[in-house]
Amino acid sequence: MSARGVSRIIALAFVVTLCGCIAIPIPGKPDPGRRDNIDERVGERFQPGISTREDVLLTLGEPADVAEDASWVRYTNVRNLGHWFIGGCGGYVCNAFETGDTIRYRTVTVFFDPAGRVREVLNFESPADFVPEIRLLDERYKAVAEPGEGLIEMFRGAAWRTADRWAPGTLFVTDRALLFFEITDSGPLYRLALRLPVTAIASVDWAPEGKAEGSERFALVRRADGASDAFAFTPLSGDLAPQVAVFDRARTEHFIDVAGWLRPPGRSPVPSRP
Amino acid sequence: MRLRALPASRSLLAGAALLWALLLVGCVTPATATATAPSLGPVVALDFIQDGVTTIEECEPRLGPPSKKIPGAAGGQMLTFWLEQEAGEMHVFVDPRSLERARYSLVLSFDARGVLTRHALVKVWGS
Repeated sequence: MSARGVSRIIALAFVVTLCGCIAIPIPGKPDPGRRDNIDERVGERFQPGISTREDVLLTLGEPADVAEDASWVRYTNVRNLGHWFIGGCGGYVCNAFETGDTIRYRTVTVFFDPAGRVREVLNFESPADFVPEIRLLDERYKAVAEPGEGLIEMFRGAAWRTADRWAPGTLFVTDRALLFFEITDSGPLYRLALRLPVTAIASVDWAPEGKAEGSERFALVRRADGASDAFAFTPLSGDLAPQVAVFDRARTEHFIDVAGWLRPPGRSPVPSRP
Repeated sequence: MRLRALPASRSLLAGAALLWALLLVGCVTPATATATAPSLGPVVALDFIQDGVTTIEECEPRLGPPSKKIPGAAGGQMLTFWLEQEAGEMHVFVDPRSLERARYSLVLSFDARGVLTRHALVKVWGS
């Protein structure tokens, strides 16, 4: 059979499969965390060493979070892109379901020097979608966060290697620590399994290659005392099934980038990648 | 009691109706959350705000407690308030539940003496 014939059969099969199916995009409701003035170019409005804390607030408005010593302010923009309604009939059965809302979460953190001038602007959008339930987890994070501790990024679908197993959970990167919440079989659903203060972190980088299969795809956090913690991530930010380790380079790289903004005292920050 | 036989067409119709009803079993109308919309805060006039004139002591009686107090330059202080515009009037929010409706962030920057040096009304969302 010719290639054209095969492609026709595939197209026909595709059409037959879709017969009776309907997919409708449902726009998302405006999120209470929506900030239209927080976008990917917001950092261009400020000049390091020149713009002041006043300039930032007078341009962007009240921040979502402020450091206790006002050494940084953080803005977030949560956009709900909506979801899909999918329905279909086949044989004698009709069914329909809705996908979860697609949420985009942008975080802009502006760091200031002691004189109150802009030192640098960290601006990134979470690379993967996450579902609104993450906010429940966010509440759990707030319950254990120290006063004034600022959240830089959260990684759902993370895994932390402990005692020869990969514990599934969610990893939070704050300006003071790495926090890992493990998913448990019984309540509470998420348990704080690790709080690693930035003062205890010596470096965050790719795991050395060649030591174990897949080692080049997870990150290694070396502690100042010589111990280390490994973190891996699923391709999407869904929860991991227990004992399942799925490694994704892109999200691991994102974690290493974000961890590079941690500021161990007396050490230079890891430069951001271009 | 004697049952009367239905004509074939009516039987077919009744059967179709029954089938339709069966198909609808399991369909539900999703309940929509009917949360009470947060009420607007009191109307505020912003014309008293003038750089170099307005003092920090004047603000709280007119605008209520600020949403945030942030250290400013050279011992100064910045106050922020959330506002919403409706029917041409500005309302200030004091109830945190109302924040999701606030589209404007008012930022007031005072010097160390408590005199307003700069201010801005920033629209944070909405066309």
